Amino acid sequence: MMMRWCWQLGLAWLLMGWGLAHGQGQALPGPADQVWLLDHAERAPGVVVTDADDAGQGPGWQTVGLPDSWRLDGRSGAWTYRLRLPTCGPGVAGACLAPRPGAALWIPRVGCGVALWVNGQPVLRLAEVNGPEQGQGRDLDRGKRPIMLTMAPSLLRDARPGLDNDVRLVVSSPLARLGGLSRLWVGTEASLNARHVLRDVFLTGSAVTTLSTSALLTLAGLWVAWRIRSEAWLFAMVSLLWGLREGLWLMGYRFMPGDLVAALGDLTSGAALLVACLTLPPLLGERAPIWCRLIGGALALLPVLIWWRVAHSEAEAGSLVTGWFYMAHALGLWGSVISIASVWRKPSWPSALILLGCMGTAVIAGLENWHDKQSLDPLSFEHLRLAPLMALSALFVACVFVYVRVSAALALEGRHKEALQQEVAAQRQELEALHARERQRAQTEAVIDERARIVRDMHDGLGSQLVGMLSTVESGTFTRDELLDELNEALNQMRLTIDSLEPIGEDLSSLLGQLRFRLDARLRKAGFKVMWEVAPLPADAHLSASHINHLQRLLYETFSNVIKHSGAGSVWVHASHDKTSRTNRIVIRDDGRGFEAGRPGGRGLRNLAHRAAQLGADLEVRSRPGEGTQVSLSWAVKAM
Amino acid sequence: MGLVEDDDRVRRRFAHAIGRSHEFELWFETGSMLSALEWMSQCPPDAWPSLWLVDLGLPDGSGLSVIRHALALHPQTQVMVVSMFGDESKVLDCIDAGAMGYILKGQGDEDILLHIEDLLHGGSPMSPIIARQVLSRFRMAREVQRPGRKSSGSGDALADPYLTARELDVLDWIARGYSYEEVAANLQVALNTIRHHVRGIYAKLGVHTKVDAINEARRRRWLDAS
Repeated sequence: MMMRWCWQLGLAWLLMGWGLAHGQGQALPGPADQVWLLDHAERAPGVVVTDADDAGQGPGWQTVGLPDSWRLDGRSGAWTYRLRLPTCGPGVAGACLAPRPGAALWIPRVGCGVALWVNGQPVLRLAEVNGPEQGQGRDLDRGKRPIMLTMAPSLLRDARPGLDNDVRLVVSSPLARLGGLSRLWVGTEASLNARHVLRDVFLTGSAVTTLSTSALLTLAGLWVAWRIRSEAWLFAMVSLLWGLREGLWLMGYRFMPGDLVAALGDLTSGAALLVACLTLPPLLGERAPIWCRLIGGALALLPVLIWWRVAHSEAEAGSLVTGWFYMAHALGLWGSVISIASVWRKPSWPSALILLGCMGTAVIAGLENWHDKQSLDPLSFEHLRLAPLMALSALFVACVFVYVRVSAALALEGRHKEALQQEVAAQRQELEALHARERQRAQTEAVIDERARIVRDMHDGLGSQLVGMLSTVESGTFTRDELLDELNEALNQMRLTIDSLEPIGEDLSSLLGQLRFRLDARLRKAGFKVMWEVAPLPADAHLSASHINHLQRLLYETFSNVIKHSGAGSVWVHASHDKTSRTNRIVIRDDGRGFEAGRPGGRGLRNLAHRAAQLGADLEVRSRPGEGTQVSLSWAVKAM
Repeated sequence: MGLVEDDDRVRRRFAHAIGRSHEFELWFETGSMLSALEWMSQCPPDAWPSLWLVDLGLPDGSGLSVIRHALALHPQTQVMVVSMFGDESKVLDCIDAGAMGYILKGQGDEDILLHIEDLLHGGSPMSPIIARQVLSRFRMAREVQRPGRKSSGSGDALADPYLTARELDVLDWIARGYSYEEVAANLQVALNTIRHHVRGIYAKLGVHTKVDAINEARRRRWLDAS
């Protein structure tokens, strides 16, 4: 939708430009019998406004066709044009100039300065044509704007056959390129006004429009360069240069000599072209480093040229400026070739539109330059300025460019988002797979560890118990009670193993409690009095199943020793946690027969010591014969 | 009474002990899960044993299925689990499934009737590890479901599936290895009160599991939370 709209707009633009370039606003309304087109005049060098002057310059008059473009024969200075306008009266056929109010002369373009005498009377003076500054008129041409002259009836001669009104135009120009006189229209103000207003409004209005558009684009470009993309300063530069050029036109040659203005206009438009070219390849996704460097070099020359032109006269520096101007165009042409090749290789609507816009701009610029500098057709002198069209074309390109960039950025953002989501999904998947593998591995390891622990446990506990029983049974010296004891012990060993598989949670006191629960029957049978003082024992987060198993076995063996060997009547169990030193402490004391502490420990004691070492706990066994035994176990709880 | 036990010797001893009793009569015995399920499905209601002894480790499946099936058919049935080791997580599973308690094998099988009597009157013994696990289960449930909720301390198990402060207290003492007598002395209550609490705790376990499920369902918006 947007594309089609752009496309149609572009086409309309081109057609409008083409039509304006050729139509010229010549076919304008006006009754033919009241309007009279002069397409020839007599011309003489210098200022020849009186008959006395005529006498001096007599042979100088020569008839020339209009428009008379000085550029074609390279004249400059001041020249006088003499028009003979017949008075109206009987016998005068065709158009004539009657001494009526509203009689008018319309000059579409005259360059640069003009002064007018009608029948020997000075009527208008728009430049110094007589004094020492003759030919240095500054205030004229004013962007090819037209002049409408209404002549008071008193100035005109009475209607008399054979008597013509003598109208003399003194035209001055310091520069052949700007000098000249277009065709003249004679008639009444009313009949000529439409043409005059149309041309004037078109030229002035378009200059103002171009100037304001350029200013806006410059500001917008600067804003974009500052906030979004630094490349936009190029665009801002183009707009600025174009605005400057338009400003020079609009002011006319008021503040400086016309030739200098013309040169500066050339320089700025060339620079605008170069900068525009510089922005084109990146726009189409092309890279042309050498060409870009050439353009950079040409642009670097610009300040030097400007200084040179200001400091020197047209004759000295004019050809240099013109040479640079053409070089800029040649470089721009090469840029066009690059662009066309790019669009040819990678056809796309936006690129084609941008190229079309650029080509349109270039064609309009070329036409303008053709009429201004090259054309051999005298009518070129009357051509309208096309610079405003160029500005509009450039604006069109800028719009397409912005559209392309914005849509590309949006698409890119979309793609980035999608890619990012895919990436995140892929990474998450990978992470999950990794996590699953890691979990699997940890699980497998845990299972292997646990299996090894259980096997070891069975081996040390139930296994050795059964082996002991076997040898007892084999020796044949056992009583029924002994066998029952042994069997119960075996069952207990097995239950311990089962207990060791239970999660113990955050409180180790349950381990102690469970032991008591398991041994309850035996303790009761042996007639033990149990004194139980057990406070919560915080578990260590780093305590492994194997550690807990060691603790359980250690406590079990201690209890077993008490039951089997101590001969005690009561057992005292104390467990507590010291919060300041973060240590757990378990003390099991009996009032049995005890043993000699200095005696090398038996297998049981060695086992206890080994398990305590595995647990990383301090074990203290205190006993004296006849005074019972006390086993203390303490260990530090590591930070959770 | 129904008996499901795969070890022939144990079953014979149990059957023998029950046969001597005047109070109990063995109406059905089997060693496999499938035959038990089949018998249950075909049993007329008036021939349904009110008390079942079920072993967990059956050759063709878990005793848990038998317990669930029995309770599904007749919710008033009393089920006791016969366990070799009294391994705690299995015991908890059975209680969750609706069993009222467990009997350890190998602790005087001839006294099975005494154990049954004990269970009927005082509930299963509670080992410290079971107490610990029940504690952590209820605490977790309480933290998740009703943060800061004050326990009412009053007793209807079905109305209040959460443990009372006193029950938690009792559990805490038992978890540290204190005997019922010592807990009673420390809390300055009668021994029977402790037994009553223990029975209450066991009773709430099954209910608690169901409430957990309902709360979980509410959390996931399966059920309307009104």
